[in-house]
Amino acid sequence: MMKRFPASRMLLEELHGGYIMRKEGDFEHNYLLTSEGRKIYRVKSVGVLLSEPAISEDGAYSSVVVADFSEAARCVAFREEAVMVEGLRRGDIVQLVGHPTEWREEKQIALEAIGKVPPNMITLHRVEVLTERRIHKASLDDAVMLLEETKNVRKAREEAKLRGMDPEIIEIVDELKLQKEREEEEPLVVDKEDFLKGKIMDIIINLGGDMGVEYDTIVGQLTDFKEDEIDKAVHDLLAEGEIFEPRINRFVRV
Amino acid sequence: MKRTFPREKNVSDLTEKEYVALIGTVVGRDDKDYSLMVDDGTGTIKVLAEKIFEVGNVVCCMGKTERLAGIVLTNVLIVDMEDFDRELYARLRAMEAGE
Repeated sequence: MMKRFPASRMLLEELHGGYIMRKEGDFEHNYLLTSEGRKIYRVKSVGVLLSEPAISEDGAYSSVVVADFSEAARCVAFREEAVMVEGLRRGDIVQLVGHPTEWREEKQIALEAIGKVPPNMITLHRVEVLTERRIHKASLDDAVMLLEETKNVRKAREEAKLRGMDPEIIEIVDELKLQKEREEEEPLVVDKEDFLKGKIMDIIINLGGDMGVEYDTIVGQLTDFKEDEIDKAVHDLLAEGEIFEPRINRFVRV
Repeated sequence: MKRTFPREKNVSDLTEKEYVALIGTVVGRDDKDYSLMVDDGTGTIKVLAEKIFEVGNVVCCMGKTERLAGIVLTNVLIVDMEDFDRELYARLRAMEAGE
């Protein structure tokens, strides 16, 4: 049976700044390794719904975009769990629990639960995150020093045990170092479709108000792209719930 | 793809063309041009609202800053922050700033 991990409170900036660590074994969970070295199997977060919930026509998939003022994240639910976003509205303050995940290089949260909470939960959540990060930072600093002293993960683990520290923190420091090195080595690859979608979003945000932007205006601004590429990107953005079409050929950011 | 989101800011730090979030108290309303005056303790800003709130209500406003007659907040999503403890929130922000 797979171990069930408790949910850790975190800010959404930690999701986007961290690494999704995929495990191959059947009994191992994927997790998020934050840039501060927190290992998060299940996320608990509080934020505001930036968009109305999007539910697919067959009801097999639903998503909401949640912002906590540090970042925003798409939260998704599948199959029988897709209905959990029903009843929520844009502007609701929600608490959510889910798994950190990644789809097409976008970090997301696969929802287990989501529900409305009173506004003071924003403060409580952030105080708890701050406290947790401070405690974690102290033990991480100790682990970094120990690893520098011993220059060997196995020795550092043994020494950590003797000093009453959690030996796992040594591996986290090592893993984090490895991830950062990999990131520096890997060249930055910008996907053409994502680049175009970003351009379209910029146009809609900068030129559109409540009334949105005409399709022809978008095409007119993007002279470096073919119209069928723009058309596909606009349809993808509609399907992803990033924009909506209040009137024919006019688009507004969700 | 880069996702846009409202960044928490004080009224005193606002510049134009930012997507921001701020929490403050409604200190004035104009039912004719559908706007609110919101004070967050560092300053007051005009918010072009889709929904009008009562003076004294605490609200969270998320929108884009524009320079009209001074900086105003447009395209706003307003959340009613009923019973929100602003004093505690101010202490939290001071703690976060000290990190």
